[in-house]
Parts: sequence; structure tokens; C-alpha cells
Amino acid sequence: MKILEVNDVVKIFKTKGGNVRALNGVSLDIDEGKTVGVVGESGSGKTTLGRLIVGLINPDTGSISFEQRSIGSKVNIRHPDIRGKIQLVFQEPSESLDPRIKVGDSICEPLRGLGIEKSSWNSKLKIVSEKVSLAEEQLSMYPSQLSAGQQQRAGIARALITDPKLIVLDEPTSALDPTARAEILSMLQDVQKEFGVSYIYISHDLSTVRYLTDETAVMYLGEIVEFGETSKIFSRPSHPYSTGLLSSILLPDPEIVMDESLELSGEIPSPINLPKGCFLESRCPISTKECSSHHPDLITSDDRLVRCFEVEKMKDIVQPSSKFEDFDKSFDDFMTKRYSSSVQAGNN
Amino acid sequence: MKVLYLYCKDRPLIGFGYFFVFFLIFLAVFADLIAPWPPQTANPDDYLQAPSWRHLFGTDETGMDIFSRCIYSIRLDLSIAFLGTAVSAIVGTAIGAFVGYYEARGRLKTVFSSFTMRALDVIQSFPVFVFAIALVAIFGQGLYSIIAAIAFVNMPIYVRLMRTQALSIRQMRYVEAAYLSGLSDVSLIIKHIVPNSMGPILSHLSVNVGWSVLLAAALSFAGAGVEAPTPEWGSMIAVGFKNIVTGQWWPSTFPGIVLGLTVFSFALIGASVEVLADPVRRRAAIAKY
Amino acid sequence: MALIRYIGRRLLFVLPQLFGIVAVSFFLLKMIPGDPALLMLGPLASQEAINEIRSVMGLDKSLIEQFVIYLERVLSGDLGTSWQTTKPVMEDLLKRFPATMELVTLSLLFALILGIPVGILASLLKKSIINKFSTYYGLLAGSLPDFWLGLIFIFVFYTILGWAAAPMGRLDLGILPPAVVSGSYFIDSLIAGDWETFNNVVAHLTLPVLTLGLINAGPIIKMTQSTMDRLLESDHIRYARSCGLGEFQIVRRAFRNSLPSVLTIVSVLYSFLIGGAVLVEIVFSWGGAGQYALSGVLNADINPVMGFVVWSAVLCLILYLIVDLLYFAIDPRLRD
Ligand SMILES: Nc1ncnc2c1ncn2[C@@H]1O[C@H](COP(=O)(O)OP(=O)(O)OP(=O)(O)O)[C@@H](O)[C@H]1O
Ligand code: SF4
Ligand SMILES: [Mg+2]
Repeated sequence: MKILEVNDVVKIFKTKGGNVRALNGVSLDIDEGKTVGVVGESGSGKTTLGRLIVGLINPDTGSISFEQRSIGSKVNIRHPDIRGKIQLVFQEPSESLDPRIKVGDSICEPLRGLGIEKSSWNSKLKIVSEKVSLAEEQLSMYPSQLSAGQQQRAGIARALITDPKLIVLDEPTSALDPTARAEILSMLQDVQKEFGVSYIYISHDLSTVRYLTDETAVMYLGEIVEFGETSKIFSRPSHPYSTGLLSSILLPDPEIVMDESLELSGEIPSPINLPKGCFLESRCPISTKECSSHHPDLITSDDRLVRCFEVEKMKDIVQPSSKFEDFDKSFDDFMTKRYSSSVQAGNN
Repeated sequence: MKVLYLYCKDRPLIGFGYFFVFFLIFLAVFADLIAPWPPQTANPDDYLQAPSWRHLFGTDETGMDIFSRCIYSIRLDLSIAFLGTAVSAIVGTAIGAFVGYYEARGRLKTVFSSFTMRALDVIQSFPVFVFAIALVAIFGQGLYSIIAAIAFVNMPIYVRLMRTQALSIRQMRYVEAAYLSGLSDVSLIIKHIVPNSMGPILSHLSVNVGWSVLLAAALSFAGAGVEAPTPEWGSMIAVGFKNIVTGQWWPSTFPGIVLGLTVFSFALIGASVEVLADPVRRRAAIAKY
Repeated sequence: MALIRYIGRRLLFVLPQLFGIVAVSFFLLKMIPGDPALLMLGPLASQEAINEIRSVMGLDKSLIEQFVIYLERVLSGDLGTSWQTTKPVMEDLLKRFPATMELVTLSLLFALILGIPVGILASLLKKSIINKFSTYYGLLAGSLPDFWLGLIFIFVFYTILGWAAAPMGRLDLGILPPAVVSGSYFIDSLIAGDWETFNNVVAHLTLPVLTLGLINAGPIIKMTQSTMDRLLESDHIRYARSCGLGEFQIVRRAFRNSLPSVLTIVSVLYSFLIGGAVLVEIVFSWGGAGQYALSGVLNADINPVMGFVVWSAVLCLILYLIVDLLYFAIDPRLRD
């Protein structure tokens, strides 16, 4: 069953320098108990999408519905019916807890909004802190006395305490060292198994996306350029941007050499002044004339959605059985190595 | 406490500031035991006496003992200053928190914020002392008018300080988390925004108490504040004013010295709080220990 | 061209503020308890006069109409009449403001002459006594009541030493004021070329200017010192130094760059002193605008008070306007 439907949302930030078009018509669905990954370069609008979903900002146009109920300025996330069912875990663990409030009290804060009696707070706190492996004495400490990993655990505990249906995880591990990162990821997986919560997992770190998610949305300049099952996208990306991203951001095994013709080059256009045609046109290795005059739609191509005129050409260039299959395999090896030994990955 | 001790060890003047303020409070509390003469009883036999063992600071033209009056003044001047500062800090902080928190958040809230800030601009375009005098003129002379005037003219600074703080703290993730969990604006501001903004407010507070003492004394000196024979530094200076030209310097000089030292001490404390409230500068200041 | 556009934009900003000033003073007037007509006219007024002023002031009309009437009156320069002097407040203030402005301007000039060199030296000579001195001077000067310091000066320089002129106004009794041009005796006596008067004017100015100047030099020293400190540490001065620019050149350059902040502090002090000088005016029987307003406060004569409030707010507005234009002249970055 669909738990969340994001429908063609547009978000424009008005700034002194001009109107920043952060999201240009993004649609995304997520099923109960599943995890969708959102990847893309810095500035592609991932955080904006996450903040929109939890209701910290409102879309300019488009709609979001949660459990078949449209949420917006009238029935927003703070509405008693929805309150606590969608939660957000922030990228910055050190900023996400009030420095002047004891960790345990911060975790319990959402319960006040739900009108839950104080007498049952302690038992709930106990359950979630065990879940995220926070020791009892840490609950009566102040955030500055905890490590970044422990702070993030507390942030996750605060999200879990309301029994949410959906948690938006905005780069939850990017501020952590590899050990803490691996621990938190496996903890998130356990939680999902136990409670059936859905995740939207936003990250730069493709290896963790690969590890945690069922489906992946690849974003570029406020648009989804490719969407599909994670394993399929990672084994055979169909959009030139996804291909470039996979090859440039993380090549876990240096022996796999990417086809140079698929590398992205050139400058990212400014989100204030987006091109008329395909947003990737200036950087795309296989662009054609049409790409600079027309804007491609997100269309179904086999097992996924792709926003590119040259999908067929891509199919020829990137063979499912070729490099990406290897890439995928070495990737899995790499994950196991990385999370068992917890050694810092070379290029991150 | 220990940090404060270490900080003052190298800076005897700052230490003096803290000492002097505690000393004043001590004098104020035990004024009845310490002051050798009643503060408001004229003694025609001791009219305009120069300082002596009998009258440490001399007497004024009605024969009242200046030393005793200086001591009793502490009660009144510090109470006015503390009250005026407290009122302006509390009201100003509350307004500033809402202004900052509401800025650019929905039409009505933004209108409220911009309107408040423009109103402050206008209020601040009136020179402080003029405005204080006008307020006293309007409320009528009296203790409460002075306190109200002091509170009012000091308030804009707290509003601005707090607004700046609220603008940055409302972006903190923990505030967003609290917002999402359904906390009301008021409890969010009370629980998260105000407690995390106290640094700059606290360091302004002690400087502000000093200013307020000065302002209260100035109003009284001008005749728009506390009136003689109530013991108050400013009005004592005013009473002694006539005598100075004829050579009796003591009725004005002593209250002025005590007043100046008081304000100076609060300024010293303020300077130290400014450093100590900032973790980086605090560490640097006592680095060698 | 850029300048004209800048001035235009800046003037546009002044109008709402002017409106705000009048609105606040109207609001203040309305807050006064008791019958406003009685307050306007003072306790000696007859019943007819009260009735008349009630209808003139439109006290029977709605609040908004009253405000419009008030606005019209203020804008046409009618600030009411003082029942103490029985003259229009506007006329009284026009006579008294120059005295205040003269005192304030000269005091600040003195404070600048004293404060800037000390501030620069304190910044350059980190380890010197002058550095320590300037740190505490700022705090001390801000703590001393100026009216008290004035009294001490009178005692020392007039009563004991007999050097200064009597603290009784702007001129000795026997000397006639110069022909009015600016209203400032200092300037007018210079214009008239009347040296005897000029000397007397200066003699009377000395102590009050010394008092206010010494007190207000504190913030100027502090500001000069701290901006110089910052600038001497800044990258482009370091760069200039590494290019082998002489020390004098470097200090000159740093000082030029610190002018805007000095200007800011001067404008703040100026606006404060327009009202704040009243105490020193009292001490020296200066007869300035502040003293006039104060006697209004003490005698329930409200028009002079409100007139003074509006005047000084408007003066501050003009002052800030001038300061902004000066910024524009000093700081080339603003011109684009
Ligand atoms: N409050 C805001 N005001 C103005 N512009 C904004 C605001 N928030 C985001 N943007 C702009 O919107 C675009 C998308 O930003 P967003 O933070 O969503 O990107 P992101 O994909 O999360 O990047 P990162 O990986 O760096 O976190 C950027 O160009 C950013 O500058
Ligand atoms: S549409 Fe054209 S420019 Fe855009 S990604 Fe496809 S080939 Fe490249
Ligand atoms: Mg982000």
C-alpha cells in the first residue's frame, strides 16, 4: 500500500540573487515498510524534498498525501491526526538536540505533542533507547557529553518514540565515522524489520544507498532523472547522469575502469537560471540538438523511469552484463569488507 | 565561580568591580546599622559642615548627613535600576523572541514582525534622554514613572538582541524537530529559543544596570525623578549644586563619586561577562591556568 | 548620478519615519491623563479659552481626525504655545536650539580631536601605558555623570582657580550677543568680527565643552582603537605591509578605512547629546533647548516638551541622513 505520494511538487526560493528553482516538479511514491533512496549532487534539491515531505516548508504547487490524505497548509504535519507519524532525522547530529536539555528529555519531547501521559514516557523512552543502544546514564547527560554517533542515535530515538510510519533520513550518517555509520545503518535495518516503518533515505554516499534502499531516485537540479529498483539502477544505470554519478562519485574497486566517454564534464547550471532544454545538456557526453531545445519528460523505459531522449542509445552503450555487473559485485564485496572491518574507505 | 576567580586574579580592576557591587548591596541591606545619622532628618545646628569625623562626608545645606544619605541612596537607586532593567529585559526579550521567530513566516506574522521593527526604529530615533523625560512628563513625576521610563528606553536593545538570536536559533535542527512534534509557538519559544539566547542578553544586563543607575540619577538631577529630601545620588548632587560655586564642594562631590564608582563597577562586570559568556574567549582569557 | 539616486532612495526612507515620529508624539500626547485642553493652556486658562481650544484641537472628533489635524499642525510648523513664555513653541525652540547644537557640536569636535589620536596610539602601541589607559578610560568615561563632572570643573577652575568664566550662560552679563545669523554665538561673533564677544563666548564654552568632550571621547577612543586593531590585522593591510609600504602610509590607510565606524559612533553620540546635553546645560545655565523642555516638564507645560521631542527626533533624522551621505562619500563600495 502506498503510504506517501508526492505529486509534481515545485518549490522556488525567492532570494536576493533571484528565484532559486530548488524543485521543478518532483513526483515520488513510497510503499509501506519500504525504503526509497534519494541521491544526487549537492544542490540537487534532496534536502528541500525531505523538508517538504515532513512539512517544514510548503510546496508552491503540487500536492503531497500521506495515507491517502492530502497534507498541506490546512492539515499539515502538526495536525493532531498526523502528528508523529512522519519524522525527520537530520544531517547534523550536534545541532539536532537542544544543548541545554538532557538527552532523555529531548527524546521524549514529541510525546508531549501527542498528549501522551507523562507516566508512560519512561517506559517508552526505555524501549527506544534500547533499540538505538543508548545507555541509561547517557539519557541523563547533555548532548555535548555524547559523541556524534550517540547524538545521532538520540535523534533517531526521538523520531522512533512516536511510532512513526515514515522517517525521512537526511544524510543521517554523513557526519559520522565509518564505524558509527555502519552501526547506525544496521540499526536502521533492524528497526525497519521490527516496526515496518518506511524510510526515505537521502544521501551522497552511494554505497550506503545501495545497501539500505529498495528503490532509488536520482535527482539533478530539482528533477528526478531516473527512478527504479535500486539493484537495477546500480547494475545498469540508464540515464547519463546516473551513469556519471556512479562512475565519478564512488568507484570502490580501482580496477574497474569506467568508459571515459560516459564521464560528465563542465559546469552545473545555476538553479536560478535553468536551461530551456535538458538540464544536463551542458555536461552530457551524448547530447544531441534536440536536448538543447526541448525538455525531456520522465518516461517509462523497461523496468524504470528515465528522463532522457537518448534512452535507447544508452542501452547500447551500457550493457547490463558489462562493467556495471562487475561493479555491482565488487561493490557488495566492498560493503562486506567495509562494514566488517570498519576501515575508512579510501575515497568518500 | 572558579573561572571567575581565575579571570579576576589577573585583572584586579575587574575584581574590584565585583567587590564593589557586593559591598554596595551589603551597605544597602544593613544601612540601618551602618549609617550613623538618619537619612532624612535635617539638623539645623550642623548646617553645611565640611567633612569631619562627626560627619564623614559633611552635611548639606539643611544639615543632613551626606554619608548616611549616600548609603541610603543605594537602596533606591539600585532598586530603580534593577527593576527598570528587569522589566525592559523581560518585555524586550519576549517581544524580540516573537519578532525573530515570526519574521518571514506567513503573512500575518511577518506583518507583526516588520511593524514592530519599524516602530522600534521610530522610537529609537528619539534621543534617549529626551524620550525618558517626555515619558516622565506624561506619566507624571514619581518612582513608577522613572522605572517605566527606564524600562521603555532600554527595551529596544533587548528586542534587537533577542531578535538576532531568535533568527539564528530558529534555524537550529532541534527547534525544527520541536516544531514538527507539534509544540505551540509559545512553548517552543519558552523552551528552546529563549534559554539558548541568554548569552548576549546576560552580558548586556549588567552594563545596562549601570546605565540605568546613571539615567535614574540624571532624571533626578534634572528634577524629573526622585525629589529631595528622599536620599538619591542625583538629587543630592542637585541640592549641592548651589553650594559649589561658593566653595562647599562636598554635598555634590561625594554622591557623584559613589554614583560613578557604582556605574563603573557594573561596566567592569559587564566587560567580564562579555568575555566569560563566550566559550572561546573564556578559554583564551584563562588559558595559562 | 548614482549619488542623486542614492539620495532619492534615502529620502524616500525618511518620509515614513517622519510620519512615525509624529504618530508617536501624538500617541504620547494622548496618553497624558487629564484634560488635554487644560494641559495645553496651563492651569491659569479661562473656561472660554479651554472650550475654544477644545474645538480647535477637535477633541470632540474621532481619534483619526484628531491625528490628521495634529499632523497638519505639526507639518506647518505649529507646535502650540508655551504658557510659561506665552510664545509659540516653534519660535522659542528656534532661538534655543542653536545654543544646544553649538555646545554639542563643539564638544564632539573636541572629543574627536582627543579621541582619535589616543585611539590610534593605543592600537599601535599594544604594550604601552596608553593602551591600558584607553581600555579603562572608555569604561570610566561612560560611568561618570557628566553633570557631576561639570560641577567639579566649576569648583576647580572657577571657584578655586578663578580661570574660567562664571557658569552663568553663554556670555557675560555686560556683553551683547552678536547679530543673529546662525544663532550660534561662536559663529556669529566670528562673522561679525567682534573679537571681544568672541573671546567671551569661547571663555564660556570652555568648561561645558571640556566636560562633554572628555566624557564622549571615551566611546570614540574605544571605537577607533578596536577598528584599527581589526584593520591592522586584516588581509589587505598585511598585503600592503608585505609590499613594503611605509608604516605611516599603512596607518593612514587603516585609519581611512576605519572612518565609517568612527562616523557611526559620532552620529550615535550626537543624537544622544541633542537631548542628553540638557544636564550640562542646567549646570552651566546654558539656556538651550533641553533646558527649555525640562522646565516644561517641571511646570506641566506640555507643548514645549512635545515640541522639543519632535524637533530632536527630526534633527536626528537629518543627522542620520547626512551621515549616510558621508558614508557614501567615504566608502566607494556603496556607490555601485
Ligand atoms: N531556504 C533556502 N533559501 C534559498 N535557497 C535555498 C534554500 N534552501 C535550499 N536552497 C537552494 O535550493 C537548492 C537545493 O538545495 P538542497 O539543500 O535541497 O540541496 P541538497 O541536494 O540537499 O544538497 P546537499 O547535498 O548539499 O545537502 C540549492 O541551490 C540551494 O541553494
Ligand atoms: S536528454 Fe539529452 S542532454 Fe539530457 S541526458 Fe538525455 S542525452 Fe543527455
Ligand atoms: Mg542536503
